[in-house]
Amino acid sequence: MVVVSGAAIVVRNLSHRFASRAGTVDVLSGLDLDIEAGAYVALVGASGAGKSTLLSVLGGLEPPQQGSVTVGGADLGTLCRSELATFRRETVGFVFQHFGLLEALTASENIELACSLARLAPRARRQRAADLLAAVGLTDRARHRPVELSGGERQRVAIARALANRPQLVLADEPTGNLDDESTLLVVDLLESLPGEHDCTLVLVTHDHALARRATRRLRLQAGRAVEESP
Amino acid sequence: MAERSPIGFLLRLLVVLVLVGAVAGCASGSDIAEPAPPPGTAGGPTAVYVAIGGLETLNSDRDDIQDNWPQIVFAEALPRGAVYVNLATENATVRSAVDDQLPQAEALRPTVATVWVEAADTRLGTSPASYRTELAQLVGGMQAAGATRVLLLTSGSSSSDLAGAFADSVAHVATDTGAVFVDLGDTSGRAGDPGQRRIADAVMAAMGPG
Amino acid sequence: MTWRDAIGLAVTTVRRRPGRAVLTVLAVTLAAALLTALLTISTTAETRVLDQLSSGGPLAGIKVAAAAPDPGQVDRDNAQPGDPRNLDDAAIAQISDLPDVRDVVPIVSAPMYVITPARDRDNRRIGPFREDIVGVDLTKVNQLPVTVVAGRLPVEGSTSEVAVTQGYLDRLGLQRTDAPLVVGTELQMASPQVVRDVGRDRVRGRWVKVGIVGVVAQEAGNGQILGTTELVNQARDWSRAGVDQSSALELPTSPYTGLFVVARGIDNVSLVRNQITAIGYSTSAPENLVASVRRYLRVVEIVLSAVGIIALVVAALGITNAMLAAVRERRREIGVLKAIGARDRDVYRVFLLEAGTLGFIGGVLGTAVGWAIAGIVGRVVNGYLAQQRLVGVQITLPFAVVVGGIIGSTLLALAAGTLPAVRAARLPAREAVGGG
Repeated sequence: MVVVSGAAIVVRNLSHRFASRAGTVDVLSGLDLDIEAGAYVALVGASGAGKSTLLSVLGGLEPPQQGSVTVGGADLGTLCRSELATFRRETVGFVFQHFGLLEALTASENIELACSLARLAPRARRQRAADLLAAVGLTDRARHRPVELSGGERQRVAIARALANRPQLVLADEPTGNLDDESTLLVVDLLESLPGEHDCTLVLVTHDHALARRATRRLRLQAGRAVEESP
Repeated sequence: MAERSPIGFLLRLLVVLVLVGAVAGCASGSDIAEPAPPPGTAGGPTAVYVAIGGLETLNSDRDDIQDNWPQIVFAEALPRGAVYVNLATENATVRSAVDDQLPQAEALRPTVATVWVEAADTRLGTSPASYRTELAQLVGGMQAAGATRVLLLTSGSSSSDLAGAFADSVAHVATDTGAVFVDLGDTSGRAGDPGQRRIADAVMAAMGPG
Repeated sequence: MTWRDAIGLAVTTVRRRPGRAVLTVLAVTLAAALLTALLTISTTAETRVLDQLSSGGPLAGIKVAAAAPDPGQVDRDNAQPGDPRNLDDAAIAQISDLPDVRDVVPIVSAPMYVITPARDRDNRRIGPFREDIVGVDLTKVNQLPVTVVAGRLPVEGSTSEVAVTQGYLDRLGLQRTDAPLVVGTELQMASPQVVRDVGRDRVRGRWVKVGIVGVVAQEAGNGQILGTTELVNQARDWSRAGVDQSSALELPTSPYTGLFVVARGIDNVSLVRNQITAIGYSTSAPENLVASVRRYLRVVEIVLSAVGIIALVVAALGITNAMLAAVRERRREIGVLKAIGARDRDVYRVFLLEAGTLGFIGGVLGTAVGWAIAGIVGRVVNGYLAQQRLVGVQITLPFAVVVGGIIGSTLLALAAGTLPAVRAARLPAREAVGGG
């Protein structure tokens, strides 16, 4: 069982490279990073700077190739695939640019799916899904499938799903990238409420400078490293 | 997960499609016999017809047996399940009929009988009185054996000689015993000719329904 | 994720995204339908062929004649009997006591003279003819090689009902399909008795009027008329009461004309035949013919099954191909599943069960369609048989084929889905994140 105490993030000397036909690419190179528990951090940088890669590593989607990554006290480099899956399930909530909802399931079912992975009983799942949909203002859309929802509504469902197992860390990768202005505001307000209302750390990747300025901390990725930007 | 159980969906699918298959299977080819009507009943003979007599009853030409008047009576007047035995012998007299044919008839337990024995007695010159007595004995024996209808046949009523006297005796015995008197007149004939048909018709007419 | 949740997700995905699955399900349906139809038809054909061989009686049936065995004929299916030998109650008891004998049905027969009111095709009267009447215990007719073609069998114990065979129809110039025409008509039958009259012997008959209640095909005894044992014994008793026991008529002396013995199983037939031969009676049974036919039918069944299984394997390959494509298409979805906490084996279960669901649905549909196809084929076949004036067939779907078809399709689909499920399970969770 993975023991997580808090969601403070400590990254030391993280390096990550990708192999391609054109050769290997060093995306992250000796990156150091400290994020305190409960922080609201925006990651910015040019396209290809490694923002999504860093998010993947922080979220345990892939293990760090070099260096150490500690999230909530758990050294991700020491976890096997199964332990990483447990870490993702119990500690992390993801919000993707593409929403990441299963098209065949309704809004409620998407949330219940996350709960089922945590072996929650069916009745408890349904209640949890109902509560979360109410929290994001989509109670009346519970039985709608993603194709019947607007972009903003889908992202709100995705946020609700991310919160299903009470994560200590929410990672959002360009959450407003596919949304119109009005939906963007709704989603951003929702995301910003997470650290305070749901006791989690929020790390958000965005190209949107205005959105990034709303974070309490701003980190810019360049040349494979993270540089603190002044608020 | 889903509010309606997916497993329930699979089960419902299974039931519906098996029913579809069952309906399809019922449309499959079939053959065979049509449904059987209600069965008949087992039991003894519905009637036992015994023919007593001489040559005029026997008509023993086997090829024409279907045209023999007792055979016609059996075929047309008696119900399914009836039994028929022709006990007649060629030179039977009423005396020999009492001695030989009556015991055999009694063993058969007849329900209906025909008696036509004249020719040999006529040829032998039996006295009408003794003919009458023995004929009455014959009829009584048949009735005692169970025959509820005994038909006495004669063809000599139109004759004024001994045959006519026998015919009178037959009439008297019928009256005395309650047997049915059947006066054939000149309808006698050999098997295979229309006379047998007319004899049979006369007997069946005298038998009445049932 | 529990197996139940995995099944639920798999079924829901298939049910709500039918477009993806329809071709795959169709392939499995057609394969399962083919297998079901082939096995149903072959089973029906086997039943019909074996039924024909046994003339409607049990396959383990043995005819015993009132005759000693001919040593040179003992192992033949249609052994010719040797010298006549009386078959009595003691013999029946001895044969019944054999350990591998399940039932013994006595058969009696008597010669009769028959008058029919029917006329032949030229409207000529059919003269009295001599024919044997065969009497059997009709409560055991299921143990006998007797098949009702039209109408019904006489009531047990009846002395006023008979059934007739094709031979009687032939006398009237009728075809088998004309059988219903004689049902309800009557016969006059006489058992002969020798009597002495004016110093010479002649034959006298005890006539009985019977109704023809059915037309049968029967191999219980030689005779065109089938009746009850009561009817036949009355005839025999009458004949025996004649002068010198009517020896001039050359009536059979044996109390029973024959027996129909049913062994416990088709594999016991040979042994029982040998035992009855040892007791001293001639037997015949189509055991060699049945064994040969069963072997050939088994080969046919194997070949047909192989054809159906090949079709199922092809369909399974289709499942594999479709599922592999689905894994490629759903990489991001798989990544998301892992991102929200699904383990590799959870993903494996879901994709495996999706394949199994496709196989199950295809199996159920295919069984129903296969049954319908078999029914249509049966109609076509019966139409042909009717043209040939032959009795039709009854299509029956063996329960084993239903269960086997559905389970087999499901299992095969699960096997076919294994590789795609493994591929899906091994996809990295990173697939959830696009770009970087």
